[in-house]
Amino acid sequence: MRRRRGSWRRKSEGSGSVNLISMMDILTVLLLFLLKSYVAGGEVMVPPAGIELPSSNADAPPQSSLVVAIDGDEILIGSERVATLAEALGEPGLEIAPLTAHLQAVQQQQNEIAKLRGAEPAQHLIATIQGDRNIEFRILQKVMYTLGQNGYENISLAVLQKS
Amino acid sequence: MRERRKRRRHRDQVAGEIELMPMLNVFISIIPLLLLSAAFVPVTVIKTTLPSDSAAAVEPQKTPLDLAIHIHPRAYQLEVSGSIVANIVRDPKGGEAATQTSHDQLLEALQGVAAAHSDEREVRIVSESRTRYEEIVEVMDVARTAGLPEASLAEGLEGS
Repeated sequence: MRRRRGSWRRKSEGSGSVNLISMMDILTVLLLFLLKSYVAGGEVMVPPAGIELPSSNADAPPQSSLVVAIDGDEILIGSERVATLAEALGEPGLEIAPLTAHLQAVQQQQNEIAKLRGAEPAQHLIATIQGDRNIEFRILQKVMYTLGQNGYENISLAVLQKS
Repeated sequence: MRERRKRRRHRDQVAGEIELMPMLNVFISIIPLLLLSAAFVPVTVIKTTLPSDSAAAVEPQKTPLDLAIHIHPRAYQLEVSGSIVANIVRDPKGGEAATQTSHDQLLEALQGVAAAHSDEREVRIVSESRTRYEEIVEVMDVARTAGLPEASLAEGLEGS
């Protein structure tokens, strides 16, 4: 009898019963909070690294759309590099040819997806521009013009919300 | 008999402990993932529309006010129907950075115009080619606060 009790005690020490319940409580609350912030946020837009968005008191929520990012030296669609700023500024006129080519490719892809789904291709296309706060107006103007020429008439400018 | 019952209770307690380690492992991997991708500073958008060809074909019902804010390196100019009505120096000390005072003055001037034309919602923001994006967004903010939420962007001539 004494022997058996001794062996049980040794087993319970071996399994290392640290009290984890309190830690689990914290983690559960944290997890719920994070999940809630996801659900309540709707479309969550995370600015890409290296782009410092300007801050503004605008409060319109972002929509899911094509994202064109302009950082210190490049123009990106999604995460794909399209043109450098020097190339874009070097083009005569307002249109940026490599951006047009990319936009048309994207549009063709979307039209094919729409056709496969049996839906009408979208008429009013939406684009969001994530521009660094230090870019110059001339590059913004060129990007907006090119988007407009390719059917993206509704353009949103992404900004950080001022608290 | 009592001895045996005691022993059974002991055994029940051991079996009653929940295995928390798998759950803990899941939590420990999920929480850093969520924390990394959570956006703590919310990103919002300013909506602008480009004038499309179809919209340009429609004749406006009334004569437009043609309200414009010019952003010059040293001053803001407020233009109504082609004439400059206000000229606001951005930094009295001669620098190029806009001060809060100049924003307040611009806001006051815009509110004056907006109060006189209560149905006006549009404003044109005329920038120079080297105007920084941040400054344009600041002016858009001022215009929105003054009750002119529909801002469109335009380019002005250098040095005008």
